[in-house]
Amino acid sequence: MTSSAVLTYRYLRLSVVALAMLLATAVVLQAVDDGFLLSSISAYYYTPVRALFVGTLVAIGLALVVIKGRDRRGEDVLLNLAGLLAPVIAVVPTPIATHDGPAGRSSVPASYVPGVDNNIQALLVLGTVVVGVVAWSRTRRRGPRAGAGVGPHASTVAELVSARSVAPRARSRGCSSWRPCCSPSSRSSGSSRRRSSGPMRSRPRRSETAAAGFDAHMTGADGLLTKTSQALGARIRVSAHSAIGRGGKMAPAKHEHAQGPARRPSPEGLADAPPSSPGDDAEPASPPDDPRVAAVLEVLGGTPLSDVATTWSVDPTLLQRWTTAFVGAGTAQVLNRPEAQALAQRERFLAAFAFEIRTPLTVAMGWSGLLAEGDLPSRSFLRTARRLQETLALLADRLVDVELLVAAAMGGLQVTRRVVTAAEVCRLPEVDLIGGSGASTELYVDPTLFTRVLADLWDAALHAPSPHSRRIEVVVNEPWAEIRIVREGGPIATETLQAMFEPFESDQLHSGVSTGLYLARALTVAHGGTLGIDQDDQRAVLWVKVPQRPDGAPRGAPVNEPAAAHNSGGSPDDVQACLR
Amino acid sequence: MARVLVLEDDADIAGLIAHILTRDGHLIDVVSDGALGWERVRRAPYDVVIVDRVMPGLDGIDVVRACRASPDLRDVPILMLTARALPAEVQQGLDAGVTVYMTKPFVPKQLSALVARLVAGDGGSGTVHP
Repeated sequence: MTSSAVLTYRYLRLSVVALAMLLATAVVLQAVDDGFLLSSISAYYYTPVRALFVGTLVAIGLALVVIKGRDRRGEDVLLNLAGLLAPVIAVVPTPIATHDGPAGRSSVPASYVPGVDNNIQALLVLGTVVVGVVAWSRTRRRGPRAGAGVGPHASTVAELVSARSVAPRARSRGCSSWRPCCSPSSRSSGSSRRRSSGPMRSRPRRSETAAAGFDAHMTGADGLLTKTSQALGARIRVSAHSAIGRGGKMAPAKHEHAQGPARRPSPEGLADAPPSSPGDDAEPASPPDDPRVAAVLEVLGGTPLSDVATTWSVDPTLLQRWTTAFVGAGTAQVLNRPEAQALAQRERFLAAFAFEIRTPLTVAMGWSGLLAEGDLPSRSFLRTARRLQETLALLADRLVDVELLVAAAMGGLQVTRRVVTAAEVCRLPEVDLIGGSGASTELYVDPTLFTRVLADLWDAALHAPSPHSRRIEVVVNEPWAEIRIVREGGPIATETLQAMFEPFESDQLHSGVSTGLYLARALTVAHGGTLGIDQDDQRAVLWVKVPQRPDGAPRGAPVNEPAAAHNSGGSPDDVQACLR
Repeated sequence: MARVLVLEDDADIAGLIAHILTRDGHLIDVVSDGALGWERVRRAPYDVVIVDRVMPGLDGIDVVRACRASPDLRDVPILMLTARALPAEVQQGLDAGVTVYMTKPFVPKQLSALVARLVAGDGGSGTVHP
């Protein structure tokens, strides 16, 4: 269950207590005024307490109906019964001795009877409507399971429409923190973190609203890549960061003990599983081995999304996003037509990429043109040759960017993790000191790719307004290792933050935003981690989290692919080794 | 010989343009910030203004609009030299009032010829692609 759902439940229960206290306070005040207590609380219907008496009982009744109680036999039934009777007690006053009633007998005063009639009739009408709606809803829910009708599709479409309609509202919030809602949160309290399966069950404490809004409309790096890989028939792999819980666990909570870890893929299993063989496609009847796909299929099978989310311990918003991506990619396959949104993102990406290579290309073409024209003095030859060399190197870097992005999208990125020190991957200009747990902290990453991620984050911290300083810190919070680039200075504009993570979501390409962070995110996802930014008025923290090394992993030796060891360089040659 | 103002925030490209146009005999001023460039073009007369589209301070499109809104600068030839090549972006530049919209990359001869035409007043208007 998500933290917001838990909070709602707690507040609901607390509200019952608060309402009861409110009524008690009103009764006590009236008793003090009168100098005596009436024989029952119901008798206060005839006093100035009446408004609060009716109001609180109706509200308490509603709360009791809503609260499901524990999973004990009959508890919910009893709660519902109490909830239904509470409004009746509220609107039907206790009989009292009256002048106009039968002598020696109590009754409701005649002046109150029309009101009681009206209120009871209203309750009966509402009760009938509610019973009808509940019956219809249950019938509708059972329908798809029996395999009849279009119920599940109607339900799914409604949810998808709802998801899309949320996007503009979520985007309009002033997000100053960007992280997937289910990112691994090392900031969760100890007890809740131990109890939960990690990101699948807990939201980060910081900027919860912004995170929820982000996820509601997030179809950025991993969204595009996921859609692309789905559309191309590849396994869903690269969006693993959001799905991976503590230790990569994601499975129905109810199956945790019954089925053990067999249905709980590890981060390695999710992020680094080999791509499906062609033969896999020939077995449509085999159950999906990816828990995310299984959850999506349950939704599409007609099970209410909220129920599936609870069963699989996944955030409903995230599940909705997976479902949307799944349906979109499937529709594109059936129609043999790329999904419009994915197509637009791809075009924007290509436009941004073209923009980035045009600049070095201009320099290369310009100086080589001058050489060809013979207009350069001989003393300028060497300098021009150096310029050309630098420019061509830049172009080569850009090509590697695209190769990595495509590889990540196609599931062809080879992440060769091994245990390295922070100093080995934090090789950044102007960095001579690594804070936090220090330069000797061990990380379990692909040194080539992770060096690239940190370099991109380091560059991203330079966005306007220019920071006063940048520093790097490493924090280990089992089971995650977090590397933070701390930027001291004014806050980065919200729209720039958005563009840094979702540069291809808008038609307006932002100045100074490159594909760098987009790629960094894809590489982080391939590591089974996530990245984001938290900032306030004084500083911004650009962070990346990756799973800590498994117990017993030998230091230095490649763990996943023993034959593919390579140095922690980050040069195009090194990166080529990561591409299959 | 003409006076040419180059508004370009990329030092490598600014240097390349300056080299080509200086070789052609023009007087070149280079400014790397849009807002500062607008101040410069407002105060000193130039025969041609070459402006990048994406710049710090003031966007190239805004500089062009400001020029066209100024009576003194309404007719100065403006060459937008940019890596933004989407059709919508080109149209936006032309709508803002650029004389010629030229997309990067370019070859030196191309730039020399174009600036010569703009200086001579027969640059016309439109787009130039590599």
